[in-house]
Amino acid sequence: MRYVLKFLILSSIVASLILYSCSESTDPHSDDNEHARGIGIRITSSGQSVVEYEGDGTLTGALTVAEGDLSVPYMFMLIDEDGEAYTPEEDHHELRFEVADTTVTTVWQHEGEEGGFEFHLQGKNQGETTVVFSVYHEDHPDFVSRDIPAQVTAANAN
Amino acid sequence: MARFRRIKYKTYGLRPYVLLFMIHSLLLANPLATTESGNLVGTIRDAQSGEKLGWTKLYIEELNRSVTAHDDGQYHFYELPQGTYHLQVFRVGYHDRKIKVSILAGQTVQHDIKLTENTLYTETIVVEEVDDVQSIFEQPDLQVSGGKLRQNLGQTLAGTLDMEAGLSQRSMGPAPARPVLRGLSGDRVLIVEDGQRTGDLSATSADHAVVIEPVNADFIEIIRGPRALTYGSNTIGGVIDVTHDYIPHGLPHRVTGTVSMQGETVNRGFVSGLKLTIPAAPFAFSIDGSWRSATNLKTPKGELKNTGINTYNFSAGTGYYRQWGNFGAASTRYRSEYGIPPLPAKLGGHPGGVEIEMERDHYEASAELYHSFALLNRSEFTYTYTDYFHAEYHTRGVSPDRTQFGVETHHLQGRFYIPECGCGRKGQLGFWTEFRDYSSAGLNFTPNTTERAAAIYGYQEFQWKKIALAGALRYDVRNVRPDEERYSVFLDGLIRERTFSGFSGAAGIRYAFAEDWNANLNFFRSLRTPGVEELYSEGPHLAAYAYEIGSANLNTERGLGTEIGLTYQSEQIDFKGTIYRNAIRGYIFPQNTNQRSFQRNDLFVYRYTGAHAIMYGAEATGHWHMFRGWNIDATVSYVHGTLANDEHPLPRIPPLQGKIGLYFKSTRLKYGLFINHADAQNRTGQFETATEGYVVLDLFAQYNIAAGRLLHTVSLRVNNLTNTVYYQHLNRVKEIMPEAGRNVKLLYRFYF
Repeated sequence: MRYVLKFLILSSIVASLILYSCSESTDPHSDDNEHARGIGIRITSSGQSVVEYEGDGTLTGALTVAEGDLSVPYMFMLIDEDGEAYTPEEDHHELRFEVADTTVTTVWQHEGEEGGFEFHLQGKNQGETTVVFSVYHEDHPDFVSRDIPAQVTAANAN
Repeated sequence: MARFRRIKYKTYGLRPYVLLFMIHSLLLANPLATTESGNLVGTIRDAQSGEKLGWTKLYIEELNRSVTAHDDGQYHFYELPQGTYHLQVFRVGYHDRKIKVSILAGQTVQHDIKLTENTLYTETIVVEEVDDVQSIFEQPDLQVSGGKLRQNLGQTLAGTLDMEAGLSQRSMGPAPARPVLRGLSGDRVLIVEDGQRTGDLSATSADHAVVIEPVNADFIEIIRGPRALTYGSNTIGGVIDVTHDYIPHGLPHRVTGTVSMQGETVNRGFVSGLKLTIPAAPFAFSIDGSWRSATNLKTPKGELKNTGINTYNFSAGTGYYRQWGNFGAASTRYRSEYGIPPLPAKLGGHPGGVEIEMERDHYEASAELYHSFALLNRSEFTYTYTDYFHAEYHTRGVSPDRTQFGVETHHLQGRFYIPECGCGRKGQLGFWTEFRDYSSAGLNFTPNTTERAAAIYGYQEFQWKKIALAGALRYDVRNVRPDEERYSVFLDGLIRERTFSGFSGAAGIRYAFAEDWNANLNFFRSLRTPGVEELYSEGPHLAAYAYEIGSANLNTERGLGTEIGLTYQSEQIDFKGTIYRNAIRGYIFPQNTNQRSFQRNDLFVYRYTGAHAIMYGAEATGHWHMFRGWNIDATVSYVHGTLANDEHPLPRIPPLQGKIGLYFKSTRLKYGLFINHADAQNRTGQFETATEGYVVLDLFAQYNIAAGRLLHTVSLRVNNLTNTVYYQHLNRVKEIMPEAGRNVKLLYRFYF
C-alpha cells in the first residue's frame, strides 16, 4: 500500500505542476489594443454632421453630390461606446468603401491619401445608391457600417 | 491556400519535466516487480468447419491488453500476471465471444477458441463460459465496429454514426460535422479518442471540425449512464469514444495491420489509411496514417461551392510490456484544410465562403500497473499535451479577413480499478486535471484566457441475483482567468476571473425480470461549466457567420436526466427501447437575436444565453432475424426540446427520424437496402428555418475473403439512390443547398 501512497503523492505534485506552474499566457495579438471599436458613425462636412447613427438608432442624413461633380470633402468618424466621435489612428487603420452601384457614384480620395478618413464622392449619373464603409486594421475590418445612402443630384446648371 | 502567421505561445518548457517526473515516480512506485507471470496461447477456429480463423482480435479486459491472431489462427499473450481474466474475441463474420481464462505463474496456458458464424445483424457479445454475470453497465450503449463500421464509414465521425438511433449531425458543409445525441450538442456530448480528450474546439461552434479521422478507427463506442461520468461531469448526452490504439495495447507475435482505400463519387473523394503494429519484445510499435482528399460536394441542385477537404493524420506510438504492467507513448499530427460553403450576405454570410486551416499536435504518455491488492487490481496514468490551432479567412476586397484560434491543453489523469468483491463488481476511482490556454487573434475581441480544472470521481457496480446496480459520484472545480479585466458595453457583466465547482452523480439499476427481458432505470445529475467563448466572446466569428457575444455572468449548467429502458434479446429478435427526459437549468446556447452587429453590420448577433431547457424523447432499435440469413433492422428516435421560461421550442433539435433495412447476411457476404426517413421539423427556435421531411434510399453490399496471409474486405454503398432533394434540419447552411446527391462509395480494406 505504501507504493500506492507514494505514487499518489508524486502524482499530486505533477498535477499541481500542471495546474499552477503554467502561469500567464502570451498575448498572441500584440495589436490587440489597437482595434477600432465603434457602435456607430458620424460623417461630417465642414464640421457639421451630414450622416450619423449610433447603435440601433435611426440613421439620419445622406451623402450628396451633383452629377459630374466632385463633392465637398467628407470626414469619416466612429462613435465609441461612450457616444464620443473619433477618427481612428491612420497609422494602423484605413477606410475602405463598397459602393452598391458604381454607375451612380464612386468614392474618390486625393492621391497619396488613399485609405485616409477624408473622402469625396464623384457624381456619375443622377440617382441613388448606398455605400458601406469599413475600417480596416491590418488585413481585417474592425468595423463595417450599415448601408449609407448616397444621392447624385442633377448636374449644376452653371 | 494562403497561410497566416500562426499564433505564438509562451514556451512553458513544462512538457519534458512532467513526462520525466511521471516516469520517475512510476519507477519509484514499481509496485509489482515480483509478480509472477504466465503466457496465454491458442488457436481460433470455425466451430463448424474447424477452419483456422486468422485476423481475430482478442482483448483481456482487466489488463487492457489486446492482440490479433495471425492468418493461421494462432494468438499469443506474453507476460501476463497470474490471475483470472475475461477474454473478448472479435472476428469479421462471426459472433463475438467473451470467455474466462486463468493464467498460472510460470506456465503457458493453451486455450483454443471456437467461433460460430454470425448471420444475424446484431453484433452484441455472446457471453459463454463466464460463471458470473457480465457487467451490464460496462457495456457501451452502442458499439460500431467491424463490418458495421466499414459499411457506414463516412467522411467524418458524425457521418459514420449518422445511421444510429438518437444520433444526428450538426453540420455547416460536410467537413465540420459533429455528432448530436438526443438533441444535445457541443460538449454535452464528449468526444474522446482512446479515452482522451481531443483538445480541439469542435464543441464550441458549428464550423469547427472534429480532429478525428475515422478511416483507421478500430471501433467507436457510445457510453451513457453512470460510467459516462468517469469521463466528465457534463456527459448527460453521453460519451463517444473512438478507439485507434495509437499506443499499442498488447505485444503481437508478428507484424499486424490494415490497409484501407475508399473512393466516393459525390465529391470525387478518396481516403487511404495504413495501420501497423510491429513487435520487438518487450516493445511494440505502432504507426497509423491516413490521407483524405475531396472536392466540392454535388447535390441534386448543383455543386455546393467551397466544400472540399484535404486532411492528413499521422501517428507513431510505442509500448513497453512486462508482467507488472506497461508504459507507452504516442504522438499524433493532424492537418486539415476545408471550406465552409458560401451564404448570402442577407443571411449574415459570406458570398465567397470561408476557408479553414486546422492543425493539431497531440502527445500522450501512459502507464498501466497491475496490482494484487484486495482493493486495487490495476492503475492507469495518462498525461497528454495538445497544441491546437486553426485560422478562418475569406477574401474581402484586396486583403483577406481572418480570425485565428489557438489552444494549448495539458491533461493528467489517473484511474484506479477496484476488483470484484462479494456483490461488488467492477469499480473505479480516479482523478483528472487540466490546464488550458486559449488565445484568439485577428478580428476578435475575446480575451486570451487560461483555465485550470481538476476532478475526482468514483464509480462502482453491484450485482445481487437478477438486479444490477451502478453508481458514480464526481466533484469538479474549474477556474477561468482572462488576461484582462474590463467592462464591455456589449457583454453582460464585467469580464473577470470566474471559479466554478460542484458535484455531479449518476445511478442506475437493471432488473432481469424474465428470461431474455431486462428493464433499466438511470438517473444522471450533470454539471457543466461555461466555456471561454460563452463567457467572454466578443467579435465576429467568420466561419460561423455570426457576431458572437458572451455573457460574463453565466453560471453552471445543472442537468437532471432520467431514462427508462427495456431490452429483449433472443436468438431471433433483439429489441431495445428507451424513453428519457433531460431538464437543464442554465442551458447555455447562442441565441440568434436577428439584429445586426453595431460593430460589424454585415453579421447577425448571436448572444450566449442561459435558460431552463427541457428535452424529452424516445428511441428504439430492433433487429429481427427472419430466416436463412435474411434480417430486418429498424430504428426510430424523437426528441422534443422546449425553453421552459417562455415555452419556445429549443433551436437546432432534430425531427422524428428513423430507418428500416432489409438485408441478407452470411459469413462472407452481406447485402441489402435501407430506407431513411425524417419528419418535417416545424418546431423551430426563434429566427430558425423549418425543414421539410424526406425519405432516402440506400443500398449496400459487403464481401470478405481470406486469401493467403491476407483477409480482404470490400464494402460498396450507394447513398441517396434516387438522388432525392432533402435538407437536414441541423445543417447551418440548409437555406442555400440540400444534402448530398447520389453517392457511390467503395471501400477496400485488407488485414494482415
